[in-house]
Amino acid sequence: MSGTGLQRRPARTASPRAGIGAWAARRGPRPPVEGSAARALDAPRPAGEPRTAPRTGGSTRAPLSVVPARARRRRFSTVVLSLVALVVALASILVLNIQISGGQYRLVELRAQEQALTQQNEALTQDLEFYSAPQNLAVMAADLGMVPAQGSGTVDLTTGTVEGDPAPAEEQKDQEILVDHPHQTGSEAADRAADRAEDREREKAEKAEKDAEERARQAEAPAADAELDGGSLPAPQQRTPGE
Amino acid sequence: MARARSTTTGEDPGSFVLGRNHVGVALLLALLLVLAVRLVWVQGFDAAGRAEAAAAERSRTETVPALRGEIRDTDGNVLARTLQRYDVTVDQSMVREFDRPKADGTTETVTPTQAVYQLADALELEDEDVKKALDGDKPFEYVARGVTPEQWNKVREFGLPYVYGQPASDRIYPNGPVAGSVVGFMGGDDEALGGIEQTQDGLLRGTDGQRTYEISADGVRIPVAPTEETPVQDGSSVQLSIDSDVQFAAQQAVAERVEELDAEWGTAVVMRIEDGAVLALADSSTVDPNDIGAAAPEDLGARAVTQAVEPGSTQKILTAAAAVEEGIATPETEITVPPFLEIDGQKITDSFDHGQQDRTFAGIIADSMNTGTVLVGSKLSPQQRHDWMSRFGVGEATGIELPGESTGILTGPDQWDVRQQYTVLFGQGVAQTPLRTATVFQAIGNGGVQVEPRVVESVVAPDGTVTPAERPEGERVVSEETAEQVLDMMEVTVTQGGAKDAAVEGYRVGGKTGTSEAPSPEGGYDGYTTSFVGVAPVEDPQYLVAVTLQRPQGDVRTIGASSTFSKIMGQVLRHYDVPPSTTDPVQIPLRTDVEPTPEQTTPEQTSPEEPEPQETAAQEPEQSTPAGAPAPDPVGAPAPSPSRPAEPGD
Repeated sequence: MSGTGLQRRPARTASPRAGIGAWAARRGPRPPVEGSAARALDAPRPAGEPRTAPRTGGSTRAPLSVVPARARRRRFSTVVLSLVALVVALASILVLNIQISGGQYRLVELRAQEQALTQQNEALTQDLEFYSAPQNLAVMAADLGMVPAQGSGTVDLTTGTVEGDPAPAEEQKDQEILVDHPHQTGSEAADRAADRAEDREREKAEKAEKDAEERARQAEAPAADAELDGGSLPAPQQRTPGE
Repeated sequence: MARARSTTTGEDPGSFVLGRNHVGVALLLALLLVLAVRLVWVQGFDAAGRAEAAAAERSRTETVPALRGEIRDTDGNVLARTLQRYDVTVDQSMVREFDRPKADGTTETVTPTQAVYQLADALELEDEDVKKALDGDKPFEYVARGVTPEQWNKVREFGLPYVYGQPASDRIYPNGPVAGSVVGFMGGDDEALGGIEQTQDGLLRGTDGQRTYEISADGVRIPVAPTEETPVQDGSSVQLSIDSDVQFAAQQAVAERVEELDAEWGTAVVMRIEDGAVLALADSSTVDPNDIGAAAPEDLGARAVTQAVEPGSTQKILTAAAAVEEGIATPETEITVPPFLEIDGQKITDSFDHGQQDRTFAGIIADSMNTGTVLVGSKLSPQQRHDWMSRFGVGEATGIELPGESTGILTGPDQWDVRQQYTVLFGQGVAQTPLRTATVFQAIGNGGVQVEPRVVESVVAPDGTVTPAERPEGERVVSEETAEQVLDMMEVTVTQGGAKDAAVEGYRVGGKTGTSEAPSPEGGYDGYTTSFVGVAPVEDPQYLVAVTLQRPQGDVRTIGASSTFSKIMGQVLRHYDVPPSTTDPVQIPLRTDVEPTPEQTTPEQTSPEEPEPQETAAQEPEQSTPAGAPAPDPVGAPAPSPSRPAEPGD
């Protein structure tokens, strides 16, 4: 394909200058008689010319020898150009393909990273929400020694007065939070809270046991005292409030 | 061709050589023929099948599960959320020793026993359980369900060829038991089983999508290959009017009181009066939706919605509203109340002993007198009594977006027996949910317009568009004037009557106590249902709190709910920054036969209950139809006139 193209091109472009054109110029002041530009008046002449041309041109062959060199050089560079273009095209397609696949791998990597971050975010959000659940907040506040406010006041901005009965907080007995903490899996915060709740439960049980022992001992003591008094009537029994 | 040329030029031409040459050519031709036949077969006869098989080999179809919507409280705090989890499964038939490549290029042999230990450590399971899961020859068995991504990553790094991870999801309820029964919960197979999860399942669920794509041999997606995608439709989020802080405060207060009185259960409803939005539906004990297995069956629902109880004297507000609206009485109407009332052969008594008294209607309501209420209420025909209860919605569900709502029991007047037609006037012989009782007071607080309660505030689509939930139209039940007068009576009940514990410092509060006998499952009655429903601030009611306690133990005068009401209402008013009341409470004389002011305050302070911060409320156990005759007036006989200050002289 490229061969035919290369052969035809010089024939077309070179002819005006190096082919018949050069020979015609040497023939003298004649109107140009090339292909389609030939005039109708000169029609009989061209028929005879092919025969006379070799005869007159026989002595002037030299100019023709210069042409092929230039034509060959051009043909060679066109081939190279095409080959280079082909190679460049192929190479760029290759590079593009490599990049797309490379991009795909990067995409997979980034997806994995995104997923990991999402999951980390989920875990942290879970911890955060666990901490901000009202009952957990209340337990932590109680652990810090905070107590519910007894009274609150309102500052009336129009008059600048304080209404209500605000009083400084007083120490209160530990307020037991009766709403259980959320039982969750997969949250460190929840695990810790569960441990803490267990500890508190155990402490409470121990304390209750100790209190019971204490009460039993106290109950025994007055009984012994009463005996020491030597009386026969038992001491008056008092009911503990709340019973 | 090259070979052929070299043989002809390099070797001597001979028959043997020529023969070999031909054999070579023939062989090549034969091979070409085989290839050609194969080509024709593959491309010509079996083209579609081959291409399909190849495509099937390359392509992967996966379901893209729709993300279930969140449930949020009114401030946007998440009450229910779906998290990514994995189910770890095993192909037991593949469990055997294998060589695991290490990072430095060598391999190590991993025995099943080692795998068990590694799995157990990573999944925080017992070695025994993991071993049990891996033993056998089933192609599919769960090792662990719902493990965190972190744990699954650890397992994946072990590279066990017979252990797989399936993406799953887990529903997490960050607040746990706070509003647990309202939010609801999910069953094992993503089935919504309770609360909002159940009723709003259609909105929350969404539609699963599907994705088909092609992968290369190493499992990476081929970028330019065709993909097919059915887009996933994530579920919408549902925002509730529940306020977590109020909900917690209410739950804590009710739980404290229930523990104190050893009651069966207690509930509290907190409502915004203007639009019937439910801010809290508290139960003394509530399911933790994270762990429904541990919950008692009766804790699974919101009792204020599922349990119908006899309301008791809180229903006197309904009777009062009807009487005022029908023009039978005003708060100032003077009525002479006998020590007890004989009507149609039925004896109606009060929770305290008293002689004949001249009282105002407000005084009757304030001290919760059954006798006076029946005197006024009996001027309504039984049909009217029934219709008024109907108008307030008694006997109908409120339509709140929670499952298992009880409609209560309101029978037709023709089915009432002789006694019931009077007892319904003070809330016995009729049953309704605590939420329904709350809506009666909501109507009074809202100038006579009842708005059915709702708990869903808005729906948030996955793209963020917020659609406010449709609220039911308010319905005028009584006129504004009537509502105002009844509200005055409610305030007098707190300031001068039997519910002084219900007062909230700095605010004008109005409300009504209620005590009724609780029907026993074995028939008859055992124990009481005590309640207090009130609104604040009275000059412009904004919030309503209704507390109900079921079967509290102890003396009937000390088992009321007014102190709990006061605690919750105080929290609510402060939480929403309601400015303290600046106007003085209304004064309506309760009695017209004695000097009101000095006598009503002085004896109150010397009454036996005062020193202790207990309920001195008029806890009046009304007798009710079936059990009324054998066990009348549980308080009156053993403890004559203990709680009423003004009565000793009567």
